[in-house]
Amino acid sequence: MAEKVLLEVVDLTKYHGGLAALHQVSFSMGEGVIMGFIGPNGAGKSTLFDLITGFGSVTAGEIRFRGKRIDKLSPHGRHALGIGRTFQLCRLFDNMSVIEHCLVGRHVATSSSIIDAALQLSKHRSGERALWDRALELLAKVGLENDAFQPALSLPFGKQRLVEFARALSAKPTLLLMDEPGSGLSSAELKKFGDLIRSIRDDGISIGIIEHRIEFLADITDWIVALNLGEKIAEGSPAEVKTNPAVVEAYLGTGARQKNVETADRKKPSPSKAFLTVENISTYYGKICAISDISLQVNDGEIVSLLGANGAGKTTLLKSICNLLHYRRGQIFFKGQEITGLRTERLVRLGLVHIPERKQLFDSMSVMDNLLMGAYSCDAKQGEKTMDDLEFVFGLFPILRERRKQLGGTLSGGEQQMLAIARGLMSRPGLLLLDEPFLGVAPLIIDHILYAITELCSSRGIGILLAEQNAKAALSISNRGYVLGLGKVVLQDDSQGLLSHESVRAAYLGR
Amino acid sequence: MKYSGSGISARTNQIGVVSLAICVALYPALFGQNAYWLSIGNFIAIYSIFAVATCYLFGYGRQILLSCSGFYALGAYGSALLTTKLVHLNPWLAMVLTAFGAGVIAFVLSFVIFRLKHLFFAMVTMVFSFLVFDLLKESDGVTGGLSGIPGIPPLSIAGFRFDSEFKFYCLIWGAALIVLIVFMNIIDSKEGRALRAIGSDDIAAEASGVDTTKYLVRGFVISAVFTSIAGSFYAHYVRFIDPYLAGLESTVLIQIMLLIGGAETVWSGVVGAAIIVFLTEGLRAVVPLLGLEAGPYEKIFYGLMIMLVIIFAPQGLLPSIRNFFFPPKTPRADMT
Repeated sequence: MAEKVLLEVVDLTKYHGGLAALHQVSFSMGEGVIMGFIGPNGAGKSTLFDLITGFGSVTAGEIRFRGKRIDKLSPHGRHALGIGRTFQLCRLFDNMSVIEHCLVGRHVATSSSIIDAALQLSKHRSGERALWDRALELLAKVGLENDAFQPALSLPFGKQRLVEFARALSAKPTLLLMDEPGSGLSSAELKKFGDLIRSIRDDGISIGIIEHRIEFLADITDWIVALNLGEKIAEGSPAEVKTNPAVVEAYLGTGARQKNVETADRKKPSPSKAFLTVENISTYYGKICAISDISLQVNDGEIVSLLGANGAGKTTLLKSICNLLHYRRGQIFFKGQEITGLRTERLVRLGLVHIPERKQLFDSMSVMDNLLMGAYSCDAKQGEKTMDDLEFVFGLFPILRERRKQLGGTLSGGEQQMLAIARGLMSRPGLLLLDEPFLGVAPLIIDHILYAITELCSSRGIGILLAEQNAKAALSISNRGYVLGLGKVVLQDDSQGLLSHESVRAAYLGR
Repeated sequence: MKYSGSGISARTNQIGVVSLAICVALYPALFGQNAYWLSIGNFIAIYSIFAVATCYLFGYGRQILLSCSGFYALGAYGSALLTTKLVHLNPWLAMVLTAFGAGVIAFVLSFVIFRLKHLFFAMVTMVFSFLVFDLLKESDGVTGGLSGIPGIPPLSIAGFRFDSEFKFYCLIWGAALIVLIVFMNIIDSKEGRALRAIGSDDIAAEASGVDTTKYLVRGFVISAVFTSIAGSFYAHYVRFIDPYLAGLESTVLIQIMLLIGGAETVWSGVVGAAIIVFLTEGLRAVVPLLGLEAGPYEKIFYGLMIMLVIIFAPQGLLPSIRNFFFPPKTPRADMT
């Protein structure tokens, strides 16, 4: 790399308690570079970004920005030097509209004092007007111009990511660190996002990016750093890193397991009795119809995928089925019994379990306690069965056994996802509603979860309804699928059919 | 939409200020020179200033602030002492000096309290109010102890004394409207946006370049200064004060006003103050008519009313009314 060095990380080490989250990681980043960071869940990628941006103290090592040490500065101090960031799970302000996020992002460069503001002096007004103009310009650039005055949290998840991106960009950073900005975006949206990232690089912003979709990274980055268990295992051009044996082993997986999964599952269950039947349900937010007249069916031991762009209504549908959202019309049957309008807690007892998109773990409880909470609805006398269940989920996700004493909130993103699924399994479900289980999960772990899901279906006869952006992964294991568009079912077919369907290929498989 | 005036809610705020001004002007016209009704109006205005000042840090900054009655009492006592026993200063000068003093105390205090979070923060701010109460009660040589300070002079401008209910009404509502507008302007500026960002997500605020501690401290000082001004107005209006001003009751009263209004808007201060004052006075008038014992039954009905609001409008009255007439256009994120 011939460019001037912008960021230099030297032997960076971070201990969480006795555990090394990062161990002597060094790399340097030039100006005008897009740099990718990969690694399995828990490798320390987010920790690395946290340390560079000042959230959390460095145990040992140095961070230099433009040759100056910054590891003792506060986060806002580093921001003032030009280091911006976005978060793995969007952190938006629930009390602000989209444009106000940009204004806060521009905070540092806003000059008017409190007195100017209180008295609405002309200096303040012209300053604010300039801020607004610039914010609207920026929003137009990222494609949010029509949502500028909406409350940011009322937008679908994909757009919320863009709001966070716009907020970070407002400050005109020289270095922007983005933690999984692409998670939750479909392939088509991701492609657009890639173009956006390239265009801001051309504006002179250097970018660090954590992402699990290696093809996407290879496409946009100049340099990739691979981490595993807190150590750097490789760095180089995307092509080098992709074929590096250490990376392949630790992170990408050889693809062998996925092949097994595919062949194992292709023997489809004979059409059996309907397990879950949803008839014509509609859900409204105020006067706005979010999903209308949706009918679908999941059979015994069947995996059914639910595809669709952001905002199509996948999450709404899943939440409606388990009555976390009130639906206005329609009927739902489960195991031949009508469950329309039953309370969520009753549904869990019946075996209908929902695993939400944002996991909603009990952060301040240990992994073990989280799992036991999952078994809460089981009879107290079935203690032994609960122990069996624990063994079963530890068998599926061995990492959870290792981490069983750690607090739920301290797990990495992918580990939390595994814990969420495991907790759902502890209540002995008959049907699992999985909302984006691959959100922010490393490829190797995706394989693992895919395997676990098929295993569950074949060994326990659990039905699964899977809402997922990663259409390829979802369809690889499912028997059938539904495609939602604007709150309606626009397409349904078996997985092979969907995989070969032109519109699905274009929208979700990025081909 | 182009930038027009202060921020996003500029239009609503302008309409609100104009309607409030009209109501304020019509009120004495409706009730004539009736001293009782005018005094109700005056108390609403004083509480409005108090509540709006508290709302800044409590509603927008989302800090559980229980020190407000302490600063309210400091404001009242500062003004009273500077205009009676010690030195016979001009009441306006006394008000400004006291507010400055309250700001300094808040600044010093903030070195302790912003090291703490959440419940601990709330507890320490509450202890501050208790300290003020004990200080005022025990140092009877200066403050007159529990018997308080009588004979505080009214406010006056160039010999014109605001000593009747109506004169004070004009003065205090003018002041309340100014305070309201000032706070609306601050909230839609760099200062207020920083505080709201901190209230919503302090980590994201830091990552956006907001010095969170600095803006919390500034918010605390601003809140203390205006709370002290409300206390000064109270002293010069009622013209007698005692240490119970610093009691937990007034803090709780203000929090209830804000919660009933719907804490996250300055308007909750004015609306909440009006509702609570009218409710209290209304019950005082109605309960004896029902043949019930005044004291305890007033409290029971008062509690019932507040419970009804919390049950049917958990976000507060203003957001509920807004959502009723203008339902949110898109699903909230917690529902998607």
